[in-house]
Parts: sequence; structure tokens; C-alpha cells
Amino acid sequence: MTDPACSPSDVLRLLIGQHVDSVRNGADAVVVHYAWRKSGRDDGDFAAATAALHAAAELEILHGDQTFLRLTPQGFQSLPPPADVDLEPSDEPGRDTDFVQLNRLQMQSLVGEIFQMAARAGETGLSATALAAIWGIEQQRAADLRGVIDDMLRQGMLRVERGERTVFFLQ
Amino acid sequence: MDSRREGAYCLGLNSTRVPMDFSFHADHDCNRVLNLLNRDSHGLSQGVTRRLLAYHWSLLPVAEDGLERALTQLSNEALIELDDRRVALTVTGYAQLIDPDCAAIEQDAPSELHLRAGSPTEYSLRAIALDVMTRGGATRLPLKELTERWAVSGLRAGELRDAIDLLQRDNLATFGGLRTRTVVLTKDGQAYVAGRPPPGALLSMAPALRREDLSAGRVDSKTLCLLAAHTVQSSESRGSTSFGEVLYRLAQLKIPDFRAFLSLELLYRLHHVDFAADTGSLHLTASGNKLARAARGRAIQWVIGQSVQQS
Repeated sequence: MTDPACSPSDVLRLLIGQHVDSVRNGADAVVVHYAWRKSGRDDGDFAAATAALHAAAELEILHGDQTFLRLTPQGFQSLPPPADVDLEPSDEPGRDTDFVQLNRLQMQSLVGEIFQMAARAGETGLSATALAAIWGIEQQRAADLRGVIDDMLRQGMLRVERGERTVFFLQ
Repeated sequence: MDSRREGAYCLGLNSTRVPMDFSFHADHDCNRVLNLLNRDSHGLSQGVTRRLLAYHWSLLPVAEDGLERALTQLSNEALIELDDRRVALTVTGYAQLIDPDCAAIEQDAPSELHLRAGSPTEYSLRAIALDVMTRGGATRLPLKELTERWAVSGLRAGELRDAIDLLQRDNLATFGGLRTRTVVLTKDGQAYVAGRPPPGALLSMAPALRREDLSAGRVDSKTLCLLAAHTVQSSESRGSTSFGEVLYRLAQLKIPDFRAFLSLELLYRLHHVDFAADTGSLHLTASGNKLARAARGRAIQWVIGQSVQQS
């Protein structure tokens, strides 16, 4: 996903560019932070990289119900060009993503791990959109998420709060 | 249909999305393209595939040829970069999209395609799934692209799982590819799509969507048509028959209602039976009579019954 040789600022810029909710909204900070940790980097570096990009006028931090990170035009200009991806369906092996088909129990376990990783920075709840985006970071199919969530809600492993946003909490 | 009117129902419409566009450009079609790029770009460098953009455009109540004209204009204005596969924003285009002075405006009304009145039925989910999949002429799509199309259609990801299960159960689609998971229309699926839409008299009897039915075994169209043709012929032998009469007889044979409906829908869709709207009666066509003759023996009737009942 990211080149380990890149500087922390390069990595953060790239992750924001890869996970935007919409161009205008930018990327949910929770999702970017999750992707950052998933790449094996620590939280201190995340704060430092955020501060560095902000100081260089490459990043805006948009506060509201959720915090979004948005690149300025200067930050956008510094993004690397896209990798060439073949768009045609193919039967040849070795050409797709790292998708691994999990069974239902493994999916539940993954949801638990996602919440634990997100909670390390104090995020106790995850919005439905953030959870869906993180599910994608974990190379899982969006279509499978609802069934797992339904099961976990039924079993009391998750609880949900509905309002302007739908937020899930691990029980 | 106005989705906000009382009683309106939209199958799986993702209600968490705020239907808001922005005024990025004075030209209406250019503005639509920029709004689609705003919503559908989940990777800033990659932009959006032209196929996804064309799919999303096809859902809007606008002229089809407006897309190419708008893309040319936006490219000439250096707001986007495009090649034969992708459309991405330039720095100028990006700056335009995040400009705080761009006012929020009402989004284009959603296509009526995905709006349905009443409770969701297997028929409505099947119709939506096949439309999403085949719009633009596709007969096979990578699962990733199908998921993207589903999302930009405003449908919930969870319903896509149901839709795929439904198409697989009815032998209308299957998975292909070793690493690139691809959803492929089967010959039955292609025939279904090319067939004629059923009349309202039949659609009013479509059974509700029940998740437990989706895990039933796969039965092909030929078997279902044999069953339905045989049932229509035995009903016809006692006088004129109707959709309701045939479904009643299939229920007496302990055929699950979702199978009974699909078998009769297929029989009509594939031109094996005609429907006289003035009398509400059904009449097997020559090909339907041939199917009924093929299903005449007791042994074959038993096999058909078993495959449909036990699946």
C-alpha cells in the first residue's frame, strides 16, 4: 500500500489521498489513522506527520461531528501519479487484490480487532461509514459486512446508536 | 416517483447519504460531471474509471451524449485529465471542488429505476441487480466494479450479498475467475435479460423477499419452465387458466412460492406462454406446448418436482 522508504509526510499524504470520503469532504481521520497503524507506524509519527503537513500548508483539518483531513491544492499536487491498474476482468491467477475469504467467525474476530485497533487512540465507537472504509482496508468485501454486523448485534457483541450518524460500539 | 412522498419505498436506498450537490461550474452537464467526480473519487490520484462514470451518468435524468461533451469541455478548461480508462482532477479542478464559495445545491432527482412501491420482492431485487450488472451491455463484471456500481446507485452493500445469492440460486449468474472474482451472467441469465417483462397481473403476485429462501439450491430455467408449462397445460385442460390459478396449482404441489413465481415469470418472459390481458387468461405458445409434452411422463414430473421442492 505504501512504500516504507517514503517519509512519514509522504505516507500520510498518500493515505489521505487513498481514503477520501468525497473530494470535498476529504478523508475521515479515524480511517486514515487506522490505515496508518495498519501499515505498522506508531501514533507519535502520525501526530508529527499531521503537524508537518499542516505547517507546510498541505493539509486542512476539518472539525465537526467527525474530523476530516483534506489536502490543500498544494498537498494534492504532491501526490504521486497513480499506479497503472488493469481494469479488465481476468481468469489469470496472481492479478488481483489480497482478498482472503474469511468464514463468519473469522469476520467477527476481524471486526473485534478493528475496534481494538481504533480504540488504541481513544475512539470507542466507529461510524458505519468509517467501519465500511476500514473493512475495505482489510481487503474484505463490502457485501459481507452487514451479515457480520447483524450477527454481532444479535449476539450482544456490538451495540448501535442511531442519529445523524450510525455509530457502532464494541460491547 | 418522488421518494419523499408518503408510502414511497426504495429498495436498500442508502439513507445515510446526504443528497447534496455543489455549484462547481456554470454549465449544467459539466457541473454534473464534477459532482460525480466529487462523490465517486475514493482515491484522489486514481480518479474514477470512465466505465463507472458512464454508469453513474446513465442513472441521471439527462441526455446520454452530454457526458462526452462535458468531459471534452472540462478537459479543455484543464479541470480534469482523461485517458481512455480514467478521469481524474487536475490541481485546478481539485481547487475548484474544495472551494468553500461553491454553494450547496439540490442533487439531481435519483433515477426511478431503483425506486419501488411496497415491500421488496425477489422480483424487484432481481430486476435491480440485473440492471446494475448489465447496464451498458456488460455480461461479466469484476466483483469490485459491481460493488462500485451498487454503491453509486445508492444501494446498500448488504443487499448486494442478497442479490448475488438470488442470481446464483436461480442460475442467472455465477462467479468466475481464479483471483479476480467476477460475476458472470449465465446463458439462463442472458435469456432472462433479453426476455420480455412480465405483465402487471403477474407482478402483483410477486412474493416478498425472504432471506431464508435465498439459501435454497440452484435450479435452472429449463427445469422451472418444464414445471410451469406442465402446470399451465393441466390447468388449461379444464378451461381457461390464469396466473393465479397456475400459482395455486403449483402451491398444491408444494412448490415454494418463490420458485412457483419465477417458473411462471420465466415461462412468460421466454415466450412460452402468452397472456390475454382482456380475459386475464394464459395460452401456451408452440414452444410452451413442446415443453409441456416433454414434461408429460410421470418419471420426469417426479424428477422436476423433486429438484424444485427439495432445493
